[in-house]
Formats: sequence, structure tokens, C-alpha cells
Amino acid sequence: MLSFHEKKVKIGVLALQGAFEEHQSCLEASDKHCTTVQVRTVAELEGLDGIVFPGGESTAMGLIGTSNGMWDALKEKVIGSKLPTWGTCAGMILLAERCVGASAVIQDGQSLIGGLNVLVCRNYFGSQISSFEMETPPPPSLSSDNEAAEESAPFPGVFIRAPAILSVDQNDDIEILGKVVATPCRQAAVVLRELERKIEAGENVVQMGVVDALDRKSHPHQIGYIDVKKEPATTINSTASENVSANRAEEEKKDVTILEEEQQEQKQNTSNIQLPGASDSTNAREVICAVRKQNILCTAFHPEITSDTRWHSYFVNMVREDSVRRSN
Amino acid sequence: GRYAVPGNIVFQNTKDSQRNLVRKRAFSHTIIQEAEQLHHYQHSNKYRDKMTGTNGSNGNGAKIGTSTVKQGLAQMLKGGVIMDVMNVEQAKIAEAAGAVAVMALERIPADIRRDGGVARMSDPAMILEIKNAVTIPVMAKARIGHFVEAQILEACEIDYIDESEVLTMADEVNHIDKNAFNVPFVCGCRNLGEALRRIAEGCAMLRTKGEAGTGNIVEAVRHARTVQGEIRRLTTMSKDELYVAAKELRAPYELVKKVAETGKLPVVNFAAGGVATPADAAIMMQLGMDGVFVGSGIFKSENPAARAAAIVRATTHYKDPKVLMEVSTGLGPAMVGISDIKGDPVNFRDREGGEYSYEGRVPPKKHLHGATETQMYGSSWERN
Repeated sequence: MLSFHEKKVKIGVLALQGAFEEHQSCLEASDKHCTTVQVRTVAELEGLDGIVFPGGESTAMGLIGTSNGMWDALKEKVIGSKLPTWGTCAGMILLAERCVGASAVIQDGQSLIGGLNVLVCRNYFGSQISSFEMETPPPPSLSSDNEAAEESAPFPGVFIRAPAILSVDQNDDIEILGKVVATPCRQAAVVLRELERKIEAGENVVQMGVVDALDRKSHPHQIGYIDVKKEPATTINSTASENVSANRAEEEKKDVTILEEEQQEQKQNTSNIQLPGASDSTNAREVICAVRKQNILCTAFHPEITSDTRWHSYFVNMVREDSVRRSN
Repeated sequence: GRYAVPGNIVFQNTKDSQRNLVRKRAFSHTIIQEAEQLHHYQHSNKYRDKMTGTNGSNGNGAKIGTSTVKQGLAQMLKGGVIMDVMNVEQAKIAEAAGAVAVMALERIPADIRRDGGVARMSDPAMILEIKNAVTIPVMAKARIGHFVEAQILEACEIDYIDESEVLTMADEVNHIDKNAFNVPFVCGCRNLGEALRRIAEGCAMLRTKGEAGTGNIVEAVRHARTVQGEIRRLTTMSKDELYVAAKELRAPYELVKKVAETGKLPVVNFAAGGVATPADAAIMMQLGMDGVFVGSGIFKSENPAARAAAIVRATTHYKDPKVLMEVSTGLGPAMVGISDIKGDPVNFRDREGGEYSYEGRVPPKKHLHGATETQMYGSSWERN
């Protein structure tokens, strides 16, 4: 009679493009009863207990995956069958239902899988020069009693041209596992300004491509980026649309005050991370970089290129719990 | 200076507002902690802190330019196709075809071969325009040894710099000190020794040199087989044989030891130089390369968009002959290319510099191949 931890699980890693081998190594290193397979075709999706969407280029994965029936099969597995799924970076983008800063050159937009009702912003922090390493909260502890010191130590988060979740659907039972306060890069700031305009105009934004972020007029022989400066929080009423009632504005002001107070509290502990290529710091906001909703786990950072396998253990445990549940 | 999270971002139609962020804060896990801003990006060499090694666990803010971060982007490009583009329109075609990155340059290698003249770094305006138009990483080339071209490209916030033998060499002895930069570099190699020399200088990604601009895969195959074969040989050696192996490879002992132990290169290695068809891309993947660069092969062909998409799919399904057959069908003519590489006056692949074994003396008598070598080593030697 196998104990829980001995129950074998088979996890597929989407291998259309990206750092899939790294995920395989980490999954197998984290758990000796876990085997992995590379998944490129619909046939290879059979018999899996879980699937990982690796880091890479979400545009490429979508184009390759929609050409051989993978995309519909993946949607069925993730959303229909609720197979445990972990998306890192590009994988997180694929699992989002709404995306800004998407590719503007692909016909009908980037192909996403969906499953998580979140709004993700691609390339939020900037180009490779703005990629960074930073301590992040560890994954939720697997042990039921006191957390061991090693388990609760910070996790080495590696953010490579990372996306960021701007907002989650309040009603959707999404657990937030990590956040950071950061200024978007100049191109992302322009994208976000365009997003705000669309929202104020009443549009329901599902996917929005990148927009022209260059300022070609200021100097004849130079090209620079458009400088986006946001108005300070206290002038919220100046941007409110006609639909916002006076009461709502009052409530918003109160919430902003709560938020500012909380921000004050954390000033000793947190500060805006300074990255090259950042836009004006008035654009800074809190963004989410790890979430879980039922069978779906997403991280904007890359545990698979570190030697710390705690997130991989966490996911294997997710898969095993689900597998045990299904067989009972 | 401190700031408040701007309150005027209200996603009204999705019910997400600041109030939701406040409520979501009440959960059991701590918010990502940062004690202080750690790294201030400065454009002056003097202030450029070099971050090396450790994997982010010293508790102080965000670190940029670490080797994990530099090599990390190359790992994310694996299994993908990086395409040479000369303008915004080509960059858009490349992204729409599934490229994982574009290499921005003013002239593709086939044109450099044909037209001659000094080949240099591109105009920053073209690079910024391409970065503005696509969402995938943008790379650009700098001349071998031209560290100021590299500084300029870093200031353009390019995602990767290719220290490229396709451009005219700026330093015939030294390569760029890539460790001094925060931006990562990709370099070419023909053999394991050259690969490790570039890694010692700080390159974060490798590629074969092949012979760029010829549409002829033979040199890329040669370089891939050489590197892979030399790695396999190293793994069969006993530990005490590695010292001489390092001397003969003309590479640092520590890197040689690491390769012998792990059986692979410490960084990602792509194919480059002469890839023109889906089959070319697949053979390089089957020879153990991690991904493919395609230069002249796409935009010098009859139907660039279709060929680009076909090469992307071939790189993913490189082990599946049925898919390879399908994507090779009906593509139209590939680039004509050059079949007699040894007879061609232009030789990109042998550009490395620092030929220490000759130490400024005239090289020993040898059989000369082609016009380049005759010119380099003089007509008083045996001529081919």
C-alpha cells in the first residue's frame, strides 16, 4: 500500500519552445516518484497528471500550438478537465484571460489558453537589461505544523523580461502568493496609459497590443521614449468618468487613504525597485507575480533556472493531491 | 523619494479597483521584501557594478546583470528561431511567423559578403524603432573587440549583443570584456576551445559560426560536430588528463573541468551560419544545438513569411519527419547561396584574433586556401 508521497505522478512539460528541459530536471530532482515527458502533440497529452507551461516566448508558443490542434486540446485539459497546471512567465501569460502589451502583429492577436481571470501586462519591467533577481516569498508551506526554517526562507526569484499581473477578478477565488511594487518600463507605461484611456471610454479590454512609445518630434536627430507622468492619487476626481457617482468617489478616496496608510506602514520594509529603463516613478504600482486558483498555479519568475526546488515540490504536491482525489 | 500607488487606476468595468488590492493584501504570506534599492543603473563605466554569481538570496533588493539573469534569457530562447531583420517591416514578419527574437542589422551577411566595405554596428534609430514595434527580444551586432559599440548598444537597452565575426573586426587580438557589461553577449565558436575562451570573457550564450551569408549548412554542421565531439572526448578523460586538455584547447582549466564533469557547455549553444531550410534547422537541432539563428536564409528566399514559419515549426518538431516533410512542402525557392565556401574570398568563420601561436611572427609554411589566405600570408609561400 503506497503512502501518499510514494504515489507516482507523470507531469508533462509543454515543449513547443522555451526552457522546458530545465523544468523537467527540477521536477525530477524535487521528487523521486515524479516522471516527466515533453509535450508537443495532442497525443502526448494523454495520461498526464499535471502539466507545466515553461518560460519562453508566448507569441511563438501560440503560433506553433495553434497549427497542430494543441491549443484546443490544452484548453480542454486546463479549463475543462482542470488538470493541475503551472505556468511560469510566458506560461503565466498563456493562462491569463486578459493581456495588454500583447503582440500587435499577429493576426487576431496572440493566442492564449486562459483559465485565470487576471489582467497580465507583458514585459512590464522592461528589456533584458531590466531583468533581475530578487527575494520572493517562498511557496506555501507543505508541512502542516511549524514551518521549518529552510522552508520559510525567501525564494530566489529570477525575473527575465517578466510579465506582471495588474489585477485579478475579485469574485474569482484567486489566491495571491507574491507581489512587488515596481515602476513599469517606459514602453509598458505608454501601454498602461492607453489601457486607462480605453477603460475610461467604457471598453472591455481583453487583449491590447503594444502601442507606439517613441517620441520622434522633440529632437530632430534623436529618438526617445514618450514620457508618461501620472497625476498624483489625490486628484482622482479629475480622471473619473461621468458614471462615477459622488458616493463612489468618496469610497475610492477612502480606499486610497487606506492604501496610502498601509504604504506608509511598510515604508521601512518595502521600496520601489529601481530598474534601468523605468518610466517616471509616478507610474509605480503594486503588481502581482504569483497566484493560484484551484488547479492553476502561475509565477512570473523562473524557479527552474535556480537550484531551489521548493516551487517544484509545491507543484508536484498539487498534482499528487489532485491525482489521489481523482482516483478516490 | 516615496510615492503612493496611484489611485486613479480604476478598472471600472472589471470591478478591480484599489479597494480590491487593499482587501487582497490580507493573506498569510508576506509581501516581497526589499530593504533598499540596490542597483542604480549608470551609464558610466566607472559606476558599473558587476554583479556576479549568487542567486538573489542576500536580501537586498533587485540585482541586475547577474550571470543567472544573463544566461536566463538564452534559456528562454531555447527551441526557438532568431531571425535577422533589417527594418521594422521585416521584424514584424519575423514576430508574426513565430520568431523568439530578432537580430537587427543594417545589412544581412549575404549582402556584406557581396558588397564588401566595412561592416559596423547599426544606427540606434533603427534598433529603437524595431524594439518599439515588436514584443520579442531584440538583438544587435557589435564588432569583435569594439567595446564602445557594445556600450552604445547597451544604452539602447538591446536584449543581447552579438559580438559578431560577420562585422569587420575592430580588434584583431582581444575580444570585448563581456564581464564588464550588464547586457548579455552571444558569441560564435568553431570548437570547444573557442567556446570556452568566449565564456571566460563573459559571454552568456554561444552559437556556431558556420559560414554566414552562404545558405550552406556545411560549416555550421562542422562546428556543431566539433564542439559536441570535443565535449564527448573530454568526458572520457581521467581527471588528471584535464590539465593538458585545457592547454591544448587553449581554454581555462576550471571551465574545462566543469564541461568534463557535466558533459555539456555551461551556456546555451545555438546553430548559426548557413541555415536556409527547415531541414537545415532540424539537422542542427538533432546534432544537439539548443535553437537556431537564421540570417540571410529567410529574407533572401522567395517567400520569407512562409519559410520563416516553416523553420519555426521545424525547430519545434525537429524529431518528427512527417512534420518536417509537411513544412518543407511548397515553400518556393530557398536562397541560392554559395557552394564553394573554400573558394570564396570572404571568410567570416576564421576571424578570431589573438593568434598567440604565431606571436607576431610569420606563420609556418602551409597550403594556402583561396584568395584570402594568399593575401594574408603572402605570395612567396606555396600557393594553392
